[in-house]
Amino acid sequence: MSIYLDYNATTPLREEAKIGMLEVMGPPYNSSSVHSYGRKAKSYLDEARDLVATLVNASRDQIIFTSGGTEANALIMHSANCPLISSIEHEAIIQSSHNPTFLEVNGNGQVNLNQVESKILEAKPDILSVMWANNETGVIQPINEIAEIANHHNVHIHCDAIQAVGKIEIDFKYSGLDSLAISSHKIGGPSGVGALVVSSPLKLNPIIRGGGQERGYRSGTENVPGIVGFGAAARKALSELKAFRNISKKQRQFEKKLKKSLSEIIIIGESVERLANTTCVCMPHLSSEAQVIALDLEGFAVSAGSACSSGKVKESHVLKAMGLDRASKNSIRISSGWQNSENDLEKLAQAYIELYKRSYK
Amino acid sequence: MSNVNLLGFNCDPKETKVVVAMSGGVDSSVTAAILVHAGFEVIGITLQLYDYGKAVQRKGACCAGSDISDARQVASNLGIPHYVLNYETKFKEQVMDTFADEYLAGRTPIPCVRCNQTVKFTDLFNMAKDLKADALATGHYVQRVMGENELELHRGVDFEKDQSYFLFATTKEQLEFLRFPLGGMKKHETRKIAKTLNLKVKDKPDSQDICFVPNGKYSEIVRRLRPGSIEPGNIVHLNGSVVGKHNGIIDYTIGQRRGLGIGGRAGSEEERLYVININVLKNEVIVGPKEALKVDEISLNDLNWISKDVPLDHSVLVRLRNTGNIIPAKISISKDGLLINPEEPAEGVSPGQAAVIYDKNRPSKVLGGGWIVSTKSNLISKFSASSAA
Repeated sequence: MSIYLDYNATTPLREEAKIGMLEVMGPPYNSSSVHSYGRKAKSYLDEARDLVATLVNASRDQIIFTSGGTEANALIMHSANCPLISSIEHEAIIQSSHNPTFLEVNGNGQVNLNQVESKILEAKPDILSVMWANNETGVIQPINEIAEIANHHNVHIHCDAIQAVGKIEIDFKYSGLDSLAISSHKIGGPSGVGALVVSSPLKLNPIIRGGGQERGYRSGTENVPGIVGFGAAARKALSELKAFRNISKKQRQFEKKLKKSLSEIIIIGESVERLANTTCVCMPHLSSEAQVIALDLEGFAVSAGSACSSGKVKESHVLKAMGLDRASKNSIRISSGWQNSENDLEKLAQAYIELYKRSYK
Repeated sequence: MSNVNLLGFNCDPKETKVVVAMSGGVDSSVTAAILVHAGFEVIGITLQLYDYGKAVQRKGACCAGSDISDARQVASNLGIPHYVLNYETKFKEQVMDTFADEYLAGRTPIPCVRCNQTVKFTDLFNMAKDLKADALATGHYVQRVMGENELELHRGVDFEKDQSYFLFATTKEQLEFLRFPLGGMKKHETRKIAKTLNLKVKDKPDSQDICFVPNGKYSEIVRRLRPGSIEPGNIVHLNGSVVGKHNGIIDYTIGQRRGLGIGGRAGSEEERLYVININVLKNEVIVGPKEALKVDEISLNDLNWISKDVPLDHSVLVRLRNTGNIIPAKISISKDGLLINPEEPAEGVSPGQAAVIYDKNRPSKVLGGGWIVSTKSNLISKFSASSAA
C-alpha cells in the first residue's frame, strides 16, 4: 500500500473510535425514544458530547452535532446577511456566504490585523469568519486577536477550526469566538459527523427542521455510531496533542532536506507559524496534478490544493489570494499524522527530489 | 525468436509502462483493456476539457465531461490507476477560441486536429513523459508501422473508421512515443472485445460530432464565445446580384445548400444555389450553381510531413475533408507552402479544413498534410463573366 501523507484531507480511523462505534452499531438506538434503548442512546451521546466539548474546552451544551464540518459552517454562514470572510477560507465557507466581503491575506497567508478593523467599519458585517489554520498551507491565523477586534465591534466571530482541531490546542471558552466548526474525520473519527460549537445565547436559523434534535438547531435522528466515534477520537486526539507537536521536527527536517537539494522550490508560509504536520511546497516547473500523479504511482498519497468531486485538480484559490499565482498551479500539500513511521517523509523526500530532477527541462 | 512485445519494446510487457488516453468511450476503453490483458503496466488518464455543465450534456460525444465516470469505472474494473487532468483552460484557449475565430474568418475549422496537436499530443504527451511512461496509447483507428526506412503512419485497417485525417499533424517525435492498438482492427471487433470483457461501455454509441458542440449546432457556440462580433449581411450571387440576407457568415460553410433562406429558386438542379465562397471583408456569403464548387487548385500552409519520402512535384492521393474520398492529385511547392492540383476538379473544399496527403503507391500510408488556405477555380470566371455580360 501507498504511504499516506494526506492527513489534512482525511485520516485513518482511530482504533478507539472503531471500537466505540462497533459497540453501538447494531442496537436500535434512537435517543429521542423514552424506552431503555432510547435512554441508552442518550447516554452514549452525552458522553460523546462531553468528550468533544473537552477537546475544544467548551461545555457540552455548546455542541451541536451536524453531518460534518461543511454543514457546521453552513449552519452559521447561511443566516448571515452581510458576511466578512477571509479570502483563504475553505469553499464550505465561501460557497455558503451570500455576497461576502473579503478580507485579504499577506504573502504568508495571514490576515492583516490592521485591515480587520477598517473592513468591519467599511462593510458593517453581521458575521466575520476566519479559519484557524489553513487546510492547504497549514498557516495559523492570529485568531485571538481577530476575535478581540470583532468582539470590540460587536460582530459575531465564527472560526472554521476543522484543520486546527486535534493538531493544536483550541480553547473555545477563552478564544473570544462566538462559534467554531469542527469535523470528526480530520482527527481520526469517522466521516459524516462534525459539530458547530456555539456560545450562548445565540440566534441560529436551522437549515434542517423536523424532530427538534440538537436543541432544534439540527433536526434528524442522531448518527449515534458516528457521534460515538467522534467522541472517542476527540479523547484520543486530546491525549496526543503534545505528541502531535513532535511531528513538527520530522516535517521541518523534510522541508530542510528539499530546500538543500533543490534551490528553486518554495515552502509556502515558511516564515510564519504553521500546523506541525503540514508542508505546502511549490515545484515551479511541474503542474500540481503531474506531481500528485507521479508520486501516487510511486506509492505516496499526497494532494494538490483542492480537488473537486470529479477528481480534477483546480488551481488553489488560497495561494492565489496570497499573491502566489504561479505556486497556485504548481504546489502540492504533504500532511503527515500519527500512523506515519519514522522514515516515511525521508522516502518521500527522495522520490520528490528524483521527480524534480527528472522533469526539469 | 523475437522478444519484442505488442507495443514494440524489447522487454516483458510488465516492464513497459503505458499511459492510455481514456475518453470514456468504447474505443479507448478497449485499448486500455487490451493492454491490461497483454500484461502491460497501464495508467488511464481522462482529460477534462470543458465545463460539461455549461455545454448541453449529450451521449456520444468524444470528450464530454460526463464520460469521466465511465472511464473511471472501466479503469477501476481493469484494476489500473486512473486520473483526471484538468485541461479546461488550455482547451478553451487552444481549441475552442481558435474554433470560433476560424469561423469568424470565414473558414471551416477542425477542432479535433487542434485538440490532438495541443492538449492530447503536447500536454498529455508531456505528462506521460513526466510519469516515466514508455508510450502513450490512444483508441484511434490508425496504424503505426515500422517501415523499411522510417516510422510510418497508416490508415486504420477499418477504412470506415479511419482517423488518419485527424492525425496528419502528428510529428515524428510524437509518433515515436504513440501507440494505436486498434489500428489493425475493425470497429465490430472492438465492440466484440468490449462485449467479451463485459466492459461497462460496451453498448455506448460512437461519437459523431465535435465534443463541445451539442447537436452539431456549432454556430450557437461561436455566438456564445464571440458575442457581438457577428453581423448580418448580404447573400450575393456570383453574377453580382444580391439574392438574400444572412444573420452572420458563421452560419455558412462552403458547399452548403440547405438553409440558405433564399426562396423561389427551388427548381431544377441547375438553378439550385450552393455556398461557393465567404467574403469576410464584405461580410458576404457568395452563392452560385453546383458547378462553381469545383476547384482546380488548393493552397496549403502549416505543412507537416510525417514521411521523408515525399514525392515532390509528383503524384499523390489527397483527402480534402474527413468524409471525402481520397482522390489523385499532383503536389508542388509554392512560395507559402504547397499547391495541390486534383486530377479532376474537387468539390466542397473549404479553407480551414485539412488536406491530407497519402502515398499513391501505398494508399494507406500518410505522407503528411497541411491546412487549406485558399482555392482556385477555372470555372468561376465563367459564372462571373456571365454577370458582366
